Amino acid sequence: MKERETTGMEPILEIRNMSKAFGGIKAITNFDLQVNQGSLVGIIGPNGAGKTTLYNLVTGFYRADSGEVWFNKENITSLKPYQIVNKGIARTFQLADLFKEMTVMENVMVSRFCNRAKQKNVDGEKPWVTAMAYLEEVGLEERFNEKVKNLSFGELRLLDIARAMATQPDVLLLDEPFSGLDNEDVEILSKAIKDMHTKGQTMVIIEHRLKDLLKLVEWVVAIVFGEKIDEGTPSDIMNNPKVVSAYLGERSK
Amino acid sequence: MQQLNQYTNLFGLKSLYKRLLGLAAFGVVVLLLPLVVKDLYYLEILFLCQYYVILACSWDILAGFTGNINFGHAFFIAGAGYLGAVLNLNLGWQPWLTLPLGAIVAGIAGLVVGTVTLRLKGPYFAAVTFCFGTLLYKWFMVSSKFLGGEEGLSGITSLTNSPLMNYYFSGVFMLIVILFLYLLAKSSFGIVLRSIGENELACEGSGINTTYYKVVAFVISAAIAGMAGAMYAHMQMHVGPEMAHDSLSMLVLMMAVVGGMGTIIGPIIGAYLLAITNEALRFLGEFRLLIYSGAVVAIVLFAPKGLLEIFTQLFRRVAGQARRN
Amino acid sequence: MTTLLNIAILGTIWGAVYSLISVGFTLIFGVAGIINLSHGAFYMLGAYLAYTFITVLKINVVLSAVMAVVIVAVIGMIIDRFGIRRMRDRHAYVLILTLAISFFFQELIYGIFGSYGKSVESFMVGEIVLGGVNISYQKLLTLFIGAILVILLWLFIKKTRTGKSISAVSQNKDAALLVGIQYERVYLMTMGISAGLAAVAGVFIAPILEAVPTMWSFPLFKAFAIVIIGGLGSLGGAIIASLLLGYSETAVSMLFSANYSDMVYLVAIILVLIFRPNGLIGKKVSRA
Repeated sequence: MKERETTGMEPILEIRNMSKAFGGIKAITNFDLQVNQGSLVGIIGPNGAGKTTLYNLVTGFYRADSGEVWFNKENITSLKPYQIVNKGIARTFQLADLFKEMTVMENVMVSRFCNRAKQKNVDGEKPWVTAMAYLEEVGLEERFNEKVKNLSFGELRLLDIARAMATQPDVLLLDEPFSGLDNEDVEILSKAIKDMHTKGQTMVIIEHRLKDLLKLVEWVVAIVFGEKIDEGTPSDIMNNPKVVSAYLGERSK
Repeated sequence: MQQLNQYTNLFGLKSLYKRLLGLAAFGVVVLLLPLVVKDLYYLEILFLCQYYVILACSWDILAGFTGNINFGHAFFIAGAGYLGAVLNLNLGWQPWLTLPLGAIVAGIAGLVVGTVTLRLKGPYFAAVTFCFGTLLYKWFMVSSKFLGGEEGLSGITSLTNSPLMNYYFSGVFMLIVILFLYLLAKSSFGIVLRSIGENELACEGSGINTTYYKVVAFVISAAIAGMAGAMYAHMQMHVGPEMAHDSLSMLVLMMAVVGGMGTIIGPIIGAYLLAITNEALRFLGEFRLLIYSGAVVAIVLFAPKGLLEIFTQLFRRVAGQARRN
Repeated sequence: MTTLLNIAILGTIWGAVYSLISVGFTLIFGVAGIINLSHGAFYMLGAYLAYTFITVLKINVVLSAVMAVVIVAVIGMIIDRFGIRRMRDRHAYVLILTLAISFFFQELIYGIFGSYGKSVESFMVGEIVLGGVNISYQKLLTLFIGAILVILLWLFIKKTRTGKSISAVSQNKDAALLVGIQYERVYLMTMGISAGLAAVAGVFIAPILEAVPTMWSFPLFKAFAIVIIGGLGSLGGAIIASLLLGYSETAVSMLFSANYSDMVYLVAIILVLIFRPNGLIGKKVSRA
């Protein structure tokens, strides 16, 4: 594995030797990961490799069997999900199923009511005004009064990102944001992600559509059967025969 | 920005205009009704309607918004009712003391029960609340002279000086509760509560401490129910174990579910409907509960959003037809 | 000494009864993920059907028992197929529906039979004396049948193909679908078994306790307490917790008063919920 060039700073998010098994199935084994501030990291791996499980472990939805998660020099391993969000890690969900009967605007407003957002709020700003700002960032401002159940798949994805961003996270975890989208929507989403990255947002992206992912990220981690098999720059990774073979049978464009 | 105005109108007080207008109209009807309805018997039924509205609406605060079904609402109603009765009979405390106290004690009880059970999945909460309700009933039934046993306690100070004043008291109470619910629904608190009901996991993923919100909703729900229970005790001038019976909890649930859970108007419809049919079908005795539980089963199976939704759909269809003609 | 023996024997008998009731309840949760609040009604229907067949229609005991259990199992499956199946994703409605069904049956039975307790003659008359303790044959029979059925159930789930499909669905219904197991059918079957077992308990208890229209609520709560203690979804946990409850209740009843024994399960629920929400054994219950 290639050594990553670090700036000498400690990573903002660190997973140390994490393992999780469900019954007899080892979902994640001895996993290590460092994410530096401002970086854009991609996580790839075949279906069932444990990528979403990883997110669930980091964000507190699952409890790890062993290992730790460190964020901003704090051990957040056993915190509850809402506490972790308030510390500064937000995530999107693979099946972006949000608050279906509520409007787009209300969906984002919920995030604005979390403690973290309330603390960072500028005095006197109404929640719907700040929520609107996030909708504008993903281009959903026109649909603000629409009920979520009426949104298209691509719009749901954008909304999920806006919702996550509205908690003003230091690290954003995206779970297969491109899956199920047509090429046009992928373009829109890619641009949004790139813009956020330029503004300094630290992000981790799980994605299957390798071509689109590799265009965006600067560092890639490959997982197979819950274990990290390689990490490096996009070109390093795609030249690794182990990684390529893990994708045999899947279209790796 | 033009849009800024557009959606500012969606939140805050301005958005409530239509509903507040409706409430005001309803309020006027409620207040003027006694001019038309003089018969004391009907006034008492209307008192009951209003009492049921308070119960159903208070129940709906937790259940309708967050989806946590409380099967033991009678616990708070009867608990505060009995407390008020005991304080009144033994210490001479008057309604203006017992009602607020009933609310406070019920709220505290809600806090204790809620903190323990609401952090777990829904079914636990539902079953524990049912247990508490039943337990209270059993306790009242076997209790000593102090709580009156099967007979209950009588001779409680009347709520006000006349049935008419009773009607107005409960009427104003009811209107205040409805107003409170409207304000709650539109507030940030209400939006969070609804999001918990929609998708609790996503809500947590947005950084919300869902347990806290659920407990607060439950405390409010319990406090209002408690105050209503104490009010009822003074109005009837009697409390009995049947106040804690699970059939009352079921009745309250039924009103909200059949009317339309989570909509504020739904429980109002359900409450009025039930109070009136309850009287009208009095000759059926116990069978009324058979009909009610059957109705709940039917509604949950075929029209889960309740009668309000049925009426709204009907209205839209009729309006659509009228437009076409 | 007699007291201890009393507790041991009676406790085991009640433990067996509770096992019959709670095993089905926990099975439904473990497999279909729902809390079935009409479970107590199955017990009640079993008792009343036993009364109708045995006492009123004077039908042979064995035939009556079988008919009662089968009828209740079918009723359970109907409730699952036409009721619960439609709202599997909305758990709140499942709770409301099943509780309303319980009330419905309560009132129906009240209308047909009235509120006075109905009793059924014991299936086998007489009693034996064991170490100074009188045990009726009915109670022994109940223990016997209960133990056999629980063992049969365990064997069914572990050894037979259908049983294993139940296990598979409880672990991951989508994965089970991938290997060709229709999970709706499994839910249906599980419901039938669950209802049937509760009915058996009702049938055998009918000669011991009186049948009243409100008798559905206490088995429901006790089953609930048992599965909380034993862990939702755990069969072994349910059996162990059933025995524990049987012993504790009998002990409290003997040492203090029969009135207090009815509170044991409640105290248990509260204590476990506060200190160990995951139960003493069994699946995790508080988080995703």
